[in-house]
Amino acid sequence: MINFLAGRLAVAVPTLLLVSILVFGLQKLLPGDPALALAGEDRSPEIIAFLRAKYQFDQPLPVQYWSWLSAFVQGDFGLSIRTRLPIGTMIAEKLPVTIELATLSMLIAVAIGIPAGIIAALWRGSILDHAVSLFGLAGLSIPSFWLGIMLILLFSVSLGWLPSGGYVPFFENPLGNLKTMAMPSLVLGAASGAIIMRHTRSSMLTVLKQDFVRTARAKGLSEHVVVVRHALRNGLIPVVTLGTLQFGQLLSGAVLTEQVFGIPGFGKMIVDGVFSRDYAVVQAVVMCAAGFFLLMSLLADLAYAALNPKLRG
Amino acid sequence: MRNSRPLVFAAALAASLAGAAVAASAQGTNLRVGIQDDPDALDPATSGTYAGRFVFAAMCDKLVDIAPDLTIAPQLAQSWEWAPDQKAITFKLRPGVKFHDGTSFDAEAVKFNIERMLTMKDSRRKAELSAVAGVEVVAPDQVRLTLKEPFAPLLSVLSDRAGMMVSPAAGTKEDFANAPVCAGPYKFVERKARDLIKLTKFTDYWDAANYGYDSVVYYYVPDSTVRLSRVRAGDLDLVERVAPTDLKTVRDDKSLKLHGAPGLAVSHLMVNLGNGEKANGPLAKDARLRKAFELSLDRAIINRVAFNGEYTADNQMIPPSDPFHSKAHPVPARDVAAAKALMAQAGMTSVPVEITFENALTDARVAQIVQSMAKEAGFDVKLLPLETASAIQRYLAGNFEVYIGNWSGRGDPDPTLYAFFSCAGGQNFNKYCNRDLEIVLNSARAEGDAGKRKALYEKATGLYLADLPSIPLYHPNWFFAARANVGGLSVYPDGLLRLKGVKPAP
Amino acid sequence: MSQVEILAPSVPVRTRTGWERLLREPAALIGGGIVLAFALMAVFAPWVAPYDPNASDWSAIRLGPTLAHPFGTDDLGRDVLSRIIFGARASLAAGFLSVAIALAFGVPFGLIAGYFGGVVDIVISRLTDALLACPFLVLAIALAAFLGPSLQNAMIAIGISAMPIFVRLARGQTLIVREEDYVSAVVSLGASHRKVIISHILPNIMPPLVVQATLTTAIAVLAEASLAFLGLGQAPPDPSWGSMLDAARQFLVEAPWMAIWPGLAIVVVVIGFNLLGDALNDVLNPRD
Repeated sequence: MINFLAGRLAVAVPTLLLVSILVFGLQKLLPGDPALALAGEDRSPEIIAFLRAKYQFDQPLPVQYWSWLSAFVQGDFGLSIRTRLPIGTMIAEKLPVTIELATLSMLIAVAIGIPAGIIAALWRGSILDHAVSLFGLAGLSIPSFWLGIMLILLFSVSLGWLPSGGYVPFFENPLGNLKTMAMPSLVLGAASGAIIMRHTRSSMLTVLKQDFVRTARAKGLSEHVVVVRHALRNGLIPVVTLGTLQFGQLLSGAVLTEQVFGIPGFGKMIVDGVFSRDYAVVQAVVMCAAGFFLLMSLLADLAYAALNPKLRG
Repeated sequence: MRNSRPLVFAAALAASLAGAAVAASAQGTNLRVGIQDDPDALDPATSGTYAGRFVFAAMCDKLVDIAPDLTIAPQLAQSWEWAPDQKAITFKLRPGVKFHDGTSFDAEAVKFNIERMLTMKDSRRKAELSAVAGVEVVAPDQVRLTLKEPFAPLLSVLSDRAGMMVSPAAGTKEDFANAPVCAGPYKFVERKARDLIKLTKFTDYWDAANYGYDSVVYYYVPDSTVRLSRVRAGDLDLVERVAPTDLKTVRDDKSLKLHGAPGLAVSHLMVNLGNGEKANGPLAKDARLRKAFELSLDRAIINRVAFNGEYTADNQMIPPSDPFHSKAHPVPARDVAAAKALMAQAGMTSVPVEITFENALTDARVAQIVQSMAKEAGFDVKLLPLETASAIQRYLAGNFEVYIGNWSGRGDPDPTLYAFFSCAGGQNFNKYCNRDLEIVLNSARAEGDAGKRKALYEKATGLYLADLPSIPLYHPNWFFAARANVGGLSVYPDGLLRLKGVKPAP
Repeated sequence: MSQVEILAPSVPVRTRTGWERLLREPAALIGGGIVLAFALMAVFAPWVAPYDPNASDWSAIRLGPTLAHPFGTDDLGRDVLSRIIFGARASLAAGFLSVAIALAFGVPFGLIAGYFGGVVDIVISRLTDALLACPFLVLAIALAAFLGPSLQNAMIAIGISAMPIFVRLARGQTLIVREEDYVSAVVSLGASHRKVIISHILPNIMPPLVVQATLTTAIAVLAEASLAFLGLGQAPPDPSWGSMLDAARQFLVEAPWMAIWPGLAIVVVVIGFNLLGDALNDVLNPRD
């Protein structure tokens, strides 16, 4: 196991390094001098030249990259070019918001996806199965921002039950927090739920046909025992892996959802960063998203290894 | 292990005390304000955003303020006197004023601040204060600014960020913007990036009795729809810049009150006349074509379609609500036939035009309406939307044929007209230069008499409207939606929220 | 292991029966029908649409559905139905062309990495891993912002962002096919690498690529709508479903029809591609 972990880390670190080079290179290619974006309404050549020098925009790229990287590995994410606030603090403030959103979405996705997938597999070909397939297809095909708009239209505009956006911290107002989070997590959970459902269904179908299930049935075990003890346990292994990977992607999946509902989270920070040319923020945020994704992939592999009896020995 | 116990305990105690303090302040009256943009650095010397000015209005007092009718009113300076040659002004300062750190405000502090604005490396106030030659402390409560040449707009300049006084003790610190110390009615508590800025009432403020809320929190809520829904739900007490299309909702909602005022800002089509390659098109070469373009547009329809008719359609840079607006130059009515006739005079039947703009919904909508209307007169308009940073870059480089400019305006006409129309103006990126206008603008700068200044600006308006280096389209108006229980609110032409007299209604 | 099973059927023999089987799948017929219908609508838009999609009627701002405008009019007095019909052009072009870009760059890299192995493989695979670790949409947003808002740039941005999926898939499949006996035989007979890759490996890795391409088209259509929604797609005044939704968001109370139709159009097209992709998957990669 330790060898396995070490091997994975040996791959993850250079990957992250490459991500940082890619993102760094990409940003420097972006048109729109950040010094100009910074200068705001009063733009004079002296101010722009000063800002360029101040943020080292006038240094050669490798120098800029090196000074960023050496600070980054020491845990210093730098200052936001726009607000002059430490990016580490900014991320620490935004991340919990998005993690809450991602967790709630994942709960919704799992709560819908797994039971629905199992039911569809057990009653393959029934109306229930078709309904589940249709729902899964819709979940994959509906743009999250449109689903968000439609939910706002229904629950905020027509019924007036839920706020159309914004964010209230949980510890300030738990009920208000859940109210603002309800629609966004449903939107984000729907797509993941659809994916989880489709995989649960196909994985269960595969398992139900395998020898050990047939053997169990032949032994005269009740259908209930067969399904719960044998089929589910094995059928859900790939779903756990997939779910973990999905969770890794939710951070960035939240980009549009946070935009539609005006939630001040991680995803919105990325978009704002790109639009305001806040390189320092974009760089740090993408590194975090990539790191989180790699961490989740690692967890997914670990979960797979831990759960799969064949690999256990 | 054992030794660390008391320390942990002390820390826990401190934390719980801090928690209690927060809870106590939460019990006082708190005003929750939703703002559209996230302010940049909170330092009057380096700030460059409207959102920053919005927060400064509660935090940083200025030497002078503007009144709702755009005249200059006392603030930290109680009175002032111009020298006969108009080349110096002496301020009598308000006694007993304290900065938020408890230090005293006096003539030395004024000297420190003006010099800080003039010398700090990333100060953005240098151009505004360029007429200032020096600052002299006459007495502890008297300070004199000497000028290189007469400069009538100085007081107007000092009514904005250039006149904001920060504590000299804090102003020398590198990280001032993270913990600003001013002399306004509310002092800085904390800032969460892209989320909120929290201020609390400064009990030693010279006019504290007139401020009814114990604390103010500015929440950054960029989406106007979301802002409105939060104030409707009672999560916010007041929101700025309600979209014109949402005004009906506010008017229909009994729990809200709409507060509005005509604004100083202007949205205009800047035509590149002499800056590089893009100034070689027919529109740049012939004023008749620019006039024809103007005649092809119906500003009232632009206002109605894009803004539900809630803004002010106008043909001048200075809005009708400003005393310096010229009544002698009314908005020309749309006249497609006249536009075509002018084009024929210029020997053209179809004129290509490319409009560059920041791809925000408002400008995109206006651009599409303009495109559609101008087409009927024979203008072949191409739209070039760019995201903000790229658009600004092109604007500064003069890399545009026509650019939709959005200027926030000022209380005095000079900063607007001089910046856009003077040959070396700070915003003159379309390289317009008219010597006659230059002379008029400079005389107006030096003119101390209000009546004579007005006559000069009448003349300037006639000159730039004949050349049409820029085609003004409309002036946005300010709309605030507040909960009905927020009392005493009045909206100023600069759209900044002044909290004097604002208090919870019974 | 299971991937070997996927590839066991050799493609050339199966092609005809594959088509027949595909035509018998209801999902394929529905999905294909939807895609075809929208494609025809896009191509013949000027003949199908009742109005010029960019023509404003200043006296018909945000009108609800009527006989003259069955889907209503938008904030600038334009016919929403006509804009939906013309908007199909942006959506489908983005879907097809960005996937074409992803295939054109991704597959060769994957083939090269899988076939030659060694340092080339390590370099390509690491870069692919790095790209895959960056969130797809974030990458597309950053690239689109870099290139400037236009439909063409949105397509390039989406294409590049989708590329690593194809590199990885093509590489994995190549690794398997390369070990097949007949490929080893061809190589030992002295065929050039180029010939082996193009004539023997590429045809055999096509089925999973076709399936992936179809499913990625669905993702690309969604991505184009997302970028346009953020103001990074089709430039005004030409319609794109995503930018129509962006404009509609301001008028949810007064003009909900502006938000409903473009979204439905996206959903239907994406369902079409997903159905087609699923059906292709069943036919080309039979599992059970």
